[in-house]
Amino acid sequence: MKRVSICRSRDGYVNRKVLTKRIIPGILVFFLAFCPSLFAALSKPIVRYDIQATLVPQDKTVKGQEILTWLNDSDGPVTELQFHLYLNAFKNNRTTMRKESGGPSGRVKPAPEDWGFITIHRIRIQDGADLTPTMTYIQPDDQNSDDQTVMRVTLPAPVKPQEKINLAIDFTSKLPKVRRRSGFSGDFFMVAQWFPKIGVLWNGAWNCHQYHSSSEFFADYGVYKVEITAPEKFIVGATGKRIAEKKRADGKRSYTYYQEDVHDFAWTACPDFVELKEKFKLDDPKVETEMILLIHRAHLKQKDRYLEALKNGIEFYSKNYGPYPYETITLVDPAPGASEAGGMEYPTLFTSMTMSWMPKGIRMPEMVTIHEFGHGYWYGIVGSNEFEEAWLDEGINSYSEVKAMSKYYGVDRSMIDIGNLKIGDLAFQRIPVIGSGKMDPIVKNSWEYVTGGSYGLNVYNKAALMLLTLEKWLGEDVMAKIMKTYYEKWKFRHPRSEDFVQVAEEVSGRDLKWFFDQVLRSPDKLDYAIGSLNSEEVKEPEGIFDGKTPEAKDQRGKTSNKPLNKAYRNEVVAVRYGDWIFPQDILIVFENGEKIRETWDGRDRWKRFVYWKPVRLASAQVDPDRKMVLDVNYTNNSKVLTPKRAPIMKYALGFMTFFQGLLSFVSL
Amino acid sequence: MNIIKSYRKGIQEATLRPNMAVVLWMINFFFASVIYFLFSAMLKAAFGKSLLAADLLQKPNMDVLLEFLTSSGTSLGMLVTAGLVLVVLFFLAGIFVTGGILQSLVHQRDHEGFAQVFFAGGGKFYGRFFRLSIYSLILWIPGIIAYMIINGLLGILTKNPLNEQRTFYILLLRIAIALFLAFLIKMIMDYARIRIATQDSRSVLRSLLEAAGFVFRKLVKTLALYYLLGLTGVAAFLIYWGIRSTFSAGSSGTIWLGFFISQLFIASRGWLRIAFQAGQLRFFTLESF
Repeated sequence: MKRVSICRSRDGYVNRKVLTKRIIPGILVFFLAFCPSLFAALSKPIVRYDIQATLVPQDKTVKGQEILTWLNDSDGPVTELQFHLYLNAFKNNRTTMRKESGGPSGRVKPAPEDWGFITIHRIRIQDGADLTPTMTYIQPDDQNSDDQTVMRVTLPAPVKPQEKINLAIDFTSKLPKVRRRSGFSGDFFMVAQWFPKIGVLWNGAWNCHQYHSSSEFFADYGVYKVEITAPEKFIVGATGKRIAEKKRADGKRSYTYYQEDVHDFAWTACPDFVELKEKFKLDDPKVETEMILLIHRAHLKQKDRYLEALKNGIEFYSKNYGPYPYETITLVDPAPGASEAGGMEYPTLFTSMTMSWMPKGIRMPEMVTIHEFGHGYWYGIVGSNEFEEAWLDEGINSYSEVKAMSKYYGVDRSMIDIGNLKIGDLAFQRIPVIGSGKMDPIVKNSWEYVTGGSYGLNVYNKAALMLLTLEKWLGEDVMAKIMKTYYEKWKFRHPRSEDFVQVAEEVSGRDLKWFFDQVLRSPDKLDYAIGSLNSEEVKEPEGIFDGKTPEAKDQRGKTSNKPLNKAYRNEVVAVRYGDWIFPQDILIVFENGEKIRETWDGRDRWKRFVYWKPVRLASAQVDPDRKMVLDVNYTNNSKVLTPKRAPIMKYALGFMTFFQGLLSFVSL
Repeated sequence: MNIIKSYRKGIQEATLRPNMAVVLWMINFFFASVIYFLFSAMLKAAFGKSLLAADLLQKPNMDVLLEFLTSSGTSLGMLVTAGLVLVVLFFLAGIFVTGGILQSLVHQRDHEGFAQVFFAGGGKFYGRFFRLSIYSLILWIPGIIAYMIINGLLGILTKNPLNEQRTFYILLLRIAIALFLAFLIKMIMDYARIRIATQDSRSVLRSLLEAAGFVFRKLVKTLALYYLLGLTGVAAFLIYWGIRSTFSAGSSGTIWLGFFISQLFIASRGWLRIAFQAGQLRFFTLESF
């Protein structure tokens, strides 16, 4: 699709006959002959969906007819197919998603229309057998028989390797009241996970997980052509490019969207959207795309914040990983009251979130916009398995988000910048990790974490801190090359954690398994500290040594005729409190300003450093360059011999004054 | 006119009794100093020896503060508990202090020393004012019910989530209504105490009900006087904040200067408390007879 647009932009002042009969065929022959790869799809298309969908707002339903073409890209024949039917996660209060996430917030009992589900009326091989009687629900993850989010059909004859099968599916999707990503709220519709989507045949087996509270994405790349019909008053946005639009006799309007090289399709409709379009162009690397902002009229004041953040996102990801490859990017602002649909990613379309009164100094809309746009890369283009290794999209994307937010909004104020209160995105990423227990590692099936919080802090925060630590350790240039190489190598494919490690090792030329094995696979923490700091004056020798009164000796014990100056035995003990092992730099500073830099392999629980000097120690610090972003306690990284009292006094007196004010308010 | 007279009288009486303001400040300081020592010990244990503590002198180091908040849960819990205990003790001490203030304002004669009258008044009225605090539940409970009803009615206006702006303003309105009701009840309590002190009444419940009647009969006037005195407090706070924000506490000297200024402000709150009592006492006298 993108190549076509390049040709289209060349609209010179040329005789039309010459243009059509000579130049265009000539150009086509040239490109076909010399640049065959230019016309190849970016991904190997495994699926093709042709869907006709009709929104019935009063029933909160979407009626659909789907033609699915699926390619058996494996080495063996396939006798059954598995499908995600993810709206069934909202069908009752015993589905796996509901069990994992708990009930709806508040004590309001769901109304009958609040439930969501998908009904398959008929599934058949196009011009062939009806598969409907073979439909069964399976629960590969937890055997919860109340969960109907995965469906299996049995084929009358196997699909051979590299053979395609065409299926025709009639379905109705009843949308839930918006909760956890998709559904309706008043006239706002976020239509996601709404159609029967085939699973991934991966390494010879179906990888088709149930819909979980924390994860929902893994699918094959392909082509989507979807015609959406909705009442005319609705403003519609969807994955891909709108290629056709027609008014119908029944007062409805149909919009056709088309997109290659994506693995999902979502859309939205709301009469209160204001649609704003703006071209985005970048020269290096070459990017040309159309930004479409569907913003609820109640939030219109926030449009510039959204658009600026989106531009920043496209620029950052294009420059650092690879040019944004699609012709459109649609940012959806959920209606007030539909915030549960906010902050979600789909190919070429994502939802952000804001409120009409959101102060500029609270950069939540910017952060969410950049993060969700970033998923277009880490999830969208690099299609890792969110169910099994969510850090590959959420962690890498959180790392990218921290870097982008820091670049555009300031390292120390990228999230909150109100008066003297300034907090950066990195500080927010650290909070959950600092306070966490050692329950789960980063790599784990998403539904097997002890809590949703543990899932979040591991796959988002800890994984982001891991990559930031790696970046500080290897250097920004090396890390930038790792990220670019990983993106380039695995775009439009399904990488695993080992693939990332392999790229990191290849690019850096180092063995990094010891690092990733610890951080990805163990639930421990990184915490190095200065355990103690001592400076003791060396006493002159007293008593009897070898039957004699001692002569004056210097601090090394050698005989000296001169009177002794004061000497000190300075001792620093560095300590490893955490279980992860990482080489450490230690900076020791003496009272006269002299600095000594030591290194420690960090393996033992502690290491002592002793210096005989005529001056006392001033301070000691592990990781003075703050490379260990994963370190859960920066405060204990350093110690001073003579603490300054003023900072403590400042905060203690400040708190006392606050308390005095509180008391005087109580008594007034 | 009685409002202005009473307001002026309140300010005048408070200004003429600096020693009483000093006593109030000292009591406040005494209670708060417990928090100072606890919090100071917590901070010392958490980052007193760290190099990062030095950064805190110039600007807040969010890494240190967030680490402190996330990893000092137990200590912070103890601090909050200690704070709540101190608030309760201070409240009980406040009952004594109010008795002292009113005794001084109502009964002090030239030949009697301030301390003698103040502490005698505190002791004399303690039991009655304590009972009054308990009886005040008959005001607080209807107040809370009234607030819940208003809150429910306002909730109807916020049912449509599309109007976020309105929801936000209604949240502010809810806070304003809650404060208004709380201040109204506190004001009725003030007049009840004044009635008890001026008439040396032992009938606490009756005094409370009569005070409520007095306030509701002269609602506009009593509110006007109350908020006029309240505005004086706001003005004092703005002056304090204006002065305080002209310098940053980046050295020991400026830390102590800032603390000294804040203590002047706390003392001014004591002064304002006396002004409230004296002004409302004057108003009660003028309007009752």
